[in-house]
Order: sequence, then C-alpha cells, then structure tokens
Amino acid sequence: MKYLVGYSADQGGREALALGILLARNSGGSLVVCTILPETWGHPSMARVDAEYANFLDQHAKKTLDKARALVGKRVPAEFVSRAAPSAREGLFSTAEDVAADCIVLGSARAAAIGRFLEGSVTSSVLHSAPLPVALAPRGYAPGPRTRLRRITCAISATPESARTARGAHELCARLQVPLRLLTFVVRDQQMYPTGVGYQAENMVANQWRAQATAGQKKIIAALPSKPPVTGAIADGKTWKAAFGSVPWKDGEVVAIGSSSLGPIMRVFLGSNAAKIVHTASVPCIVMPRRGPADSD
Amino acid sequence: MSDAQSLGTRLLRKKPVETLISDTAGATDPEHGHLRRGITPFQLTMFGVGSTIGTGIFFVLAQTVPTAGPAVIISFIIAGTVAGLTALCYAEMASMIPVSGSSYSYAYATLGEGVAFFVASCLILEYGISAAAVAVGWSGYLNKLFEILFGSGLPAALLSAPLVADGYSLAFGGDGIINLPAVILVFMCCLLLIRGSKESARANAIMVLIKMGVLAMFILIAVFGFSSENLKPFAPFGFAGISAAAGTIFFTYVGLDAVSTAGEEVENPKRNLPIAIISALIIVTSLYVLVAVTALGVQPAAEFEGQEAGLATILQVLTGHDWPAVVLAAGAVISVFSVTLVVLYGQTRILFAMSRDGMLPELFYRVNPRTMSPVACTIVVAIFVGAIAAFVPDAVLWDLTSMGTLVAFMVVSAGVIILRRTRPDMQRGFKVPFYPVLPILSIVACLYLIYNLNPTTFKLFGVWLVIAAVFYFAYSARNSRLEKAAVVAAARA
Repeated sequence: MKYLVGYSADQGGREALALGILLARNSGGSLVVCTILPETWGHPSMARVDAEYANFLDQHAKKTLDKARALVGKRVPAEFVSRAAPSAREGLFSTAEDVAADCIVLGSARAAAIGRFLEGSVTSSVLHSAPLPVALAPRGYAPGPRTRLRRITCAISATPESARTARGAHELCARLQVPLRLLTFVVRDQQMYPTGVGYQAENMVANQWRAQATAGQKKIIAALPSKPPVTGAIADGKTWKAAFGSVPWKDGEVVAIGSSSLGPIMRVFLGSNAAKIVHTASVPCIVMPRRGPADSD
Repeated sequence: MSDAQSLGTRLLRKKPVETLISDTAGATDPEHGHLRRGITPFQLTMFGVGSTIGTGIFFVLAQTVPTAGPAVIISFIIAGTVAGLTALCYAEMASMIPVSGSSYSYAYATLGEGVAFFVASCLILEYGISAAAVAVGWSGYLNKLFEILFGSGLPAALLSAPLVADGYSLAFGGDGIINLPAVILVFMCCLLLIRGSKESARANAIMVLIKMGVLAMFILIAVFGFSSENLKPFAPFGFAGISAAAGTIFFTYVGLDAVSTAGEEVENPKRNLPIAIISALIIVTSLYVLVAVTALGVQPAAEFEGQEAGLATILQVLTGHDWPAVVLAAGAVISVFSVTLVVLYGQTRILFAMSRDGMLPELFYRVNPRTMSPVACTIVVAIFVGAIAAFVPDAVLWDLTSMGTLVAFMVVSAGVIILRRTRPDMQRGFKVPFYPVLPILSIVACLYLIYNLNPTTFKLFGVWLVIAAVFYFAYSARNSRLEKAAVVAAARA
C-alpha cells in the first residue's frame, strides 16, 4: 500500500510521518511524503511578480522535505514531492491521484490534548470529502522504533449496515496481514432526574443495547472470511472516554471507522459518533470512505 | 409441551431477583463496582417536589372547585395525606428489591406475573394518561400567553378536543377539532427523548425554583385581593363534594414516587426516605393549600368552572395588569414542559422493562444504535399520548389518572402486608412505621378516594382492564420470558 503523508515542518507533520512509517512497514508499503505550497503568480511578467516569493517557497519545500527525508531514513521506501495548489486539501487530493495513493496520513491540530486528536482546518475539510481512507495521528504520537502495526480495531455500531464497514476493515487487515477486532461502544446515558421508575433505569437500556450489539457482532463475524482472524469486543462506560478505556489496546494498534451515511458514496464523511471516537481515541484512527451497496459483495 | 404451565402458575410465577439486578447493573467498572449512594436527603426532597408540582396545581382548581366549593382546601389535605401513606408503603416495597424499576418490577419479583401485569396497566394510566392531561393543561397556559402577548390566541377549533365531557359522559360536540398545542408538546418531548436528552439533577433544581417562584408570586399578589366573603358558603356540596374533589386532586400528587424509588441511592434510607417523603409532602401540600386559599379568596367559587389557565387569569383580573399573568403563564409553560418530559420518560422505560420480560412485543425494547435510546418505544408512546391529548378532554383524563395511580398504590400497600407474612426474612432497607396500621390505613384511604370518583371513570377503567386482560392472555402469558424458561425446563425433564 502507498501512503500519502501530508507533511509540514512542525510537530504535527512529524507525527503524521511517524504514523505513515508505522503503516508502511507492514507488507511492503511505501510512502509519498508531500508538502503543499500556496500557488504563486506563475505568468511571465516584466516585474517578475511573486518571483521572490516563489523562490522562498521552493527553498522552504526543499528544507522541509530534507527534514522528512532524514526522519524516514532507510526504514521504508519513500518519495518526496512538493506541490503548489489553491488549497491544501486540493493539493493532497490531486497528489493522491497522481501517485495512486491508497491512504492519506495527517497529523493533529496543536490545540488537542496530548495523546488525542483534534482536526485543524485542513484535516476537517479532508475528513468531509476525501475519496480515499484518511489516517490520523494523535498529538504527540511517537511509536517506538520497533513498533509495528499489530491489530486493527474497527469501531462499528453492530447493525446490518455496519457489516459493510466491517468488511472494508477486514479487506484492509488482509492487505496489511494483521488481525481485526470489531468494537462496539456502549456509552451509558445520563439518568433522568427525577423519575418514578428508579435511578438506574438507563442501565437497563444500556444493557439491552449491549446484548443487541453482542448479537449483531456475532452475526457480522460469522459472515466474514476466517482469515485474517476476527474477534469482537464491547467498549462499555459512562462516557466515550471511559468506554474507550474499558478495553485493552495494543502498542501499534489503530482504529478504523466508517463514514456517515450522510455523506456521498465513496467519500469520507465524519459522522457525529465517528467524531467522538476520533476525539477520544488514544491511538491513531483511519476513517474509511463510505461504501455503497454495490461494494457489499 | 408448549403449554407447560397452567393458568394459575402463569399468573403467580415470579421473576428471580438476581435477573432483575443483572438487568440494571452498571458498566463493569472496577472502581465503582457498587452503587454509589450519592443522593442527599435535601436533593431527594427536591426531586419529590420537582416531579410533583406541575402535574396539576396549575389546572386542577377549574375542575375541583365546582365539585367541592371553597372546601377544596380540605380535599387537598386529604389527598396529600393519602399520598403520604401510599408513598411510605411504596418506599418499603422499593427498598426490598434493590433494583430500579417501577412498582411493576417489584410486583413481578414478589407477587407474581398476573399482579405485575395488572399494576403495569394501572401505571400506563398513571404515566401515559397523566402526560396527556398535563399536556392539555399546558396548552391552556400557552394560549393565555399568546393572548396577552399578541392580542389574540389560537382559534378555538385548534385548542380543544372534539369530545366533550358532558356531566362526565363522553360525547362529540363543542367547537374543538384537535388540541394542537398539546400534541406539539408531546412530540417535542418525544424528539428530546429520542435524542437522548435527560433532565439532570441540576435542571430539576432550576425547574423547582421556577415552579415554586411563580406559585409564591401568585400567593403574594393574590393575598392582597383576598376577601373572606368569597369563601362563603364554605362547603356547598357537603362532605360528598369534598371527597369527590379529593379523588381528582390525588392526581396532583403523582410524582411523589420519585422519592420512594430512591432507596438504593440515598444514604441511610431508614432515616432519610421518610424524612424526604414527608418534607416533600409538606412543602407540596402547603403550596397547594396556599394557592387554593388565595385563589378562592380572590375569585368567587362560581367563576372557576371551565376556566383555562386559571391562575394567570385570576392575576390578570385582580391586578388589572398583564405582566403578573405573563410571568405566571411563562413559568407554567416552562415547568410543565419539563414535567411532561419526565412523565413520558417514565412511561417509555416502564414499557421497555415490560417488553424485555416478554410482556410486550420486541419492538418496545429495540435500542437504536445511533442514539442508543429506545426510539420505536418512544415514538409509540408519543403517538398514543399525543392522540389522547388531542381528542379527549382533560376532566376525564385527570380522574382516570387518579384511578390508575390509586389502584396501583393500593396493590403496593397490600403487597407490603402480604410480603411481611410470606417473606418475613427478606432484607428491607426501609420499613413502614406503625405496621400493620399504616398499610391498612393506606388501602382504606385509597379505596375511599376511588369510591368517590365519578362513574364514567369506573366504566373507562373497566374497559381498559378488559383490554389489558385480553392482551395478557392472548400475548403476554405465552411470550413471557418465564414461559420460555419453563418450556425449556419441561423439555429437559
């Protein structure tokens, strides 16, 4: 698989690059490290409009990519490109098309808490329109030099529709040769006060949802091919954060989530529950484009 | 093989307490494995006040003053006393079984499936019908607000039900087509519940302040227009009138069970439950009585009949200004909204528990993956309650709510006596004082209030019970989870 890392010469860029390297190590992947530059006035003119600026940008790109080159070293095969585009998003998409990338890798905004992800303006627009999967590195992401991708956890809601997402994640696991874990969230709702039906009534609903989700997962797992291996788990807690912490996570694990059915087919579109997962996950997330019914078999 | 159980065993089979506990267990959290006893007696009192005020005091005078005259004040005290007795019995029942759930769950664990289903059909009146009644009252205050603020209210055809209660018998007539605001209120609450919105303890505290604030404002203003002449004759219809009104008024104390069910949440329930129940009761009853006394002192008894948004109208007439009426109507509109939300919530969760036990179709306990709330159940409840609020006049609804609540509480009080005899060694977090006098008194008092409700209510209640019984024998008895367990056990043997 080919990973397009959206790189900038800051901490976020380094974290994205670290995630790209981790992913590319599995099953002969490669990197394309790309830095997007603003477009300059390219037409020939007497006054050489923007020429100094264009010059500066070239220098900047070269320096940036040199830094990236030093970071990647010989660990994975990598290309380094820079591209001028009207917006970072368009630049990333057209580069992805040119180099036939399989996944875009991006870093977090600096406003995020350490170990969490928060989208900046570029990531936000990419997360609502990318035609290919988008991997997100949380702030401060620094896997050890020997860390490898060990497992992919696919967060699904265990409905028949989410079987498609699970199948997508399963295909991804097959390419990367890692096992898959299906994870469903049971986030316990607030209790209503006051109430005549008791002060634990919401647990009754949550436990029912848990049972429903477990049954749904079993069905989905039964329909998936047996290789690579698939397991199921329930993340149960009072908040999204507590639920996330209620299941064990491996070093070198990533979360895969599907796109909202609100968005167009074949595009990434971050739904409301997916956004909560992306923001609470302490591991990198891969947001996969929405699969149409045609992909179902 | 499938009819492994006889009718008697079916009606008497009980749900194991362990199953009830595991149904409502929290997330597996090593630190908070046990329930935290987090509610203080003060908070609990506020829960009681919060869920009780708003169910009726804003509307009930128009209904009961014509029945009892100024002696309606005594009716309030009688109804409050009965509510207190039943609440204490309810608290013992709730503390015996350390799970959440309404009296339906307690009855299922201790008195058997038949009684549980019967209690549940009464609870549907207590919750579903009272939500409809409250929504109808809300629409009166909303219209009052529109009238004052915009000069004209909604057309009458959109404000009242097509059915009218003519001397308590239902008939088509009047100029109403549909009570639109009531329907809109029910569906707004439904949307909030589907989204998973909950009234938190803090929101409840704010609502309590709003409710008590507007009622206190009413009392303080109305006391200046007080004329003792208006209180004469005090009891034009004698004690019969007082008792009949007390039956209807009982409805305004629905919600006090929010205190009774907190046995597991409050510290030292033996001491704090009765304190909270009685303090909530005293606060609520005093407010009701003060509101009634001042309202009656301002307005002659004859003018109460059929008055919508009564309290606001009284203030408007008394002061000659609009603003006190606007404040009161706005307070009522906000706080009754929250009461409707709480009551509808209770109804959905009771149906949820019933369907999990196999008493109702699976549809009621399906949880929507997106919102993680029982969406189908909420929609069904909203349609049912919305339709009743749209087409049935509130006078009938109040009495029906009182009937359902009184019968359910009576069963609970009887249950306390039965269980003291059959399960004397079962752990009880709270015990009723003055046993057996208090539970017996509670039953007698409930019977007395029921006896004084009007005959139409009995007819409607009878029809409802027949429907419930047919449903039980046609569906629930066969589909009960316990039935399936029994069939499996029989097949093994």
